[in-house]
Amino acid sequence: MNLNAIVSHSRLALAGALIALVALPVAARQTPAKPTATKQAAAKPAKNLLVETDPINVDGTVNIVIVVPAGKGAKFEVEGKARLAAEARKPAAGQVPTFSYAAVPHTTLAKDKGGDGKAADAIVLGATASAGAVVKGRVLGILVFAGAAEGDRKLIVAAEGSPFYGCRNIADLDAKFPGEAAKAQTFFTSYKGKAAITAAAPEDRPAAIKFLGDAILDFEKTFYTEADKRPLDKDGNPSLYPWPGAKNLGE
Amino acid sequence: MRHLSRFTLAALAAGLALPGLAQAGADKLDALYGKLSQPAYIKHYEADKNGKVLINPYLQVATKEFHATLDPKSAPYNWVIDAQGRLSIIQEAAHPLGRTYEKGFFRPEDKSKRKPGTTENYGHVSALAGAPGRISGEILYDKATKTFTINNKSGRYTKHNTDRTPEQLANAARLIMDSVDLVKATWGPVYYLLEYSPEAIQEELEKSPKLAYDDPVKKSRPHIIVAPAGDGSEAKPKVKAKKQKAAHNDDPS
Repeated sequence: MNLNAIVSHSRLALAGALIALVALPVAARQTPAKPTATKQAAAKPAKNLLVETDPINVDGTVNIVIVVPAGKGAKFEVEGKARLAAEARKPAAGQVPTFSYAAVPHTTLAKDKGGDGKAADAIVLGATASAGAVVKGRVLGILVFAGAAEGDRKLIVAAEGSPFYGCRNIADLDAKFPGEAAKAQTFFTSYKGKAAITAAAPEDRPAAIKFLGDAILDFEKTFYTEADKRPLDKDGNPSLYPWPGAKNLGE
Repeated sequence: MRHLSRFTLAALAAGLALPGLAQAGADKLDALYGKLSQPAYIKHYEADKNGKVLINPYLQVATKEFHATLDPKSAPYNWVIDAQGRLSIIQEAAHPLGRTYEKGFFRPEDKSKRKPGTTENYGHVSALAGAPGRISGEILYDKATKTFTINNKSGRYTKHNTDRTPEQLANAARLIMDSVDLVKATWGPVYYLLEYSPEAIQEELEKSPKLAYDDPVKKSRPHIIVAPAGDGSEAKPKVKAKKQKAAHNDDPS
C-alpha cells in the first residue's frame, strides 16, 4: 500500500478518532484545541477509517464516515499532513446544520481533475450517529458549489433506516421532503457570513454514481502499488488464482 | 390469557411458516433466474492480498422501485442477478490491481492469447464481491440503432451452469427493462448466445429455425433472440452495424 496515499487521506480519516478524543471536549468548552493534545491524538489513531472502510457495499449502498454530526454547531477541521490539528469554530446564530457532514472512504478528488486532493465529502440526511461513526446510505445526487476554498461538489446521501432512505433521487427528495436539499445548499452558501460560495443546480443520481466511482478509482490507483499485485510468471503471463469461494474452473 | 395464547399460537405458526416461505421465495427466484452458483473462477487481479474481491466502484443495484441509469457514454455494462433477485449492474473500468499488457499475454483461464494493449478490467464477480449469483451477461450499446442490447455472456455465472435457459434470460431482461432508465436510448433485442448456454440447450437450439448468426457466412456468434427490441421489431438492425463493443475486452467475464 502506498504510504503517501494513506498520509494524504489521513486528514479526514482520522476525524472520527480526533473528534472523539479531542475535538468534542474542546467544542464543549468552545475554545481552540491545543496543538499538543491534537498531536498526541493523531499520533496513535485507533483506525484510519478512510482507508480501512470499504466505500461500496454489494447492495449498492455507500459507507461514509461522519465528521460533523447533525445539530452540532461547530465544524471540525482536521488540517495539516504529518501534523494534525483540530479546530472548533463557534458558529453564528442560525448556522447549525440539520444534516451530518461526512467523508467517503477510499476516495480522492484528484487535483488534475479540479479536485482538492482530499476525500469526497457528503452531506448525510437522517443520520443520528456521532462523529467517527461509519454510516451506510443511498446516494441521491450532488450539491454543486463554486467559490472560496470549499470543495465544489458534495454527495447527498440518505442514511439507511431514516425516512430519507426511501428517496430514489434528488427529484424524489424534493417531492417527499420539500426544501431539504435547498436547506443544505443555503447552509454552505451562507455559513461563512459572506457570499463567498455560490450554489448551482444539484446534479442527480447518475452524475453522483459517476462522481463517486471516479473518486474511488482515483484513490485506488495510488493506494495499490505493484507490490500489491500478484506476480507474473517468468514469461510475463498471469497465473491461475484458486479462490475459496469459486468453482475454480477454466473457460 | 386467551389473547396471549392466540398471540403465542400466531407467533409459533409464523415461526414455522417463515422458513417455508423463504424457501418458496428462493425456489421462485431459482426458476426465474437460475439457481445460485459460485463464480466459475476469480482472476489473479480481482482479489486483494487478503483474498477480498474488490467491488466495482460504479456498482448500481436496481429494483423495480429503485432504478439504475445506463448512459451510452459509460457502456458497455455487465449485469448479474444476485441471491435476492436484485439486479446488479457495473460498467467497464480498469482494475486497480490489474495491468495493461503492451505485448499481449497468455490468459490461463481459457488458454487464449490476448492481443497487445489488453487491460485487466473489473469483471462480473466485482458486482457481487465474488458471492454466488444467478444468470448474468452484458448490456451493450449499439450506436447505429441507439439501442442497448442484452445478452447472457458471462464466463462466471452463466457458462458452466446447466439451468441457464433462454426463458431465464427473457425473465432477467424483463427485470432489467423494468428496473433501468436509459439515457437517450431505447432497448434493442435480447440475445441468447449459444456459446454460453448449457450443452443440452445448445444442441437443441442448433436445430432451431430461430438460430441466427452475426455473420451467417462465418457462422459467428450463434444466437437466438428471446425478446424483441423495445419497438417490437424482432429483426436486427437493417444497417449492418459495427460489431458492438463487448465488455471486458471481449473477455467472457
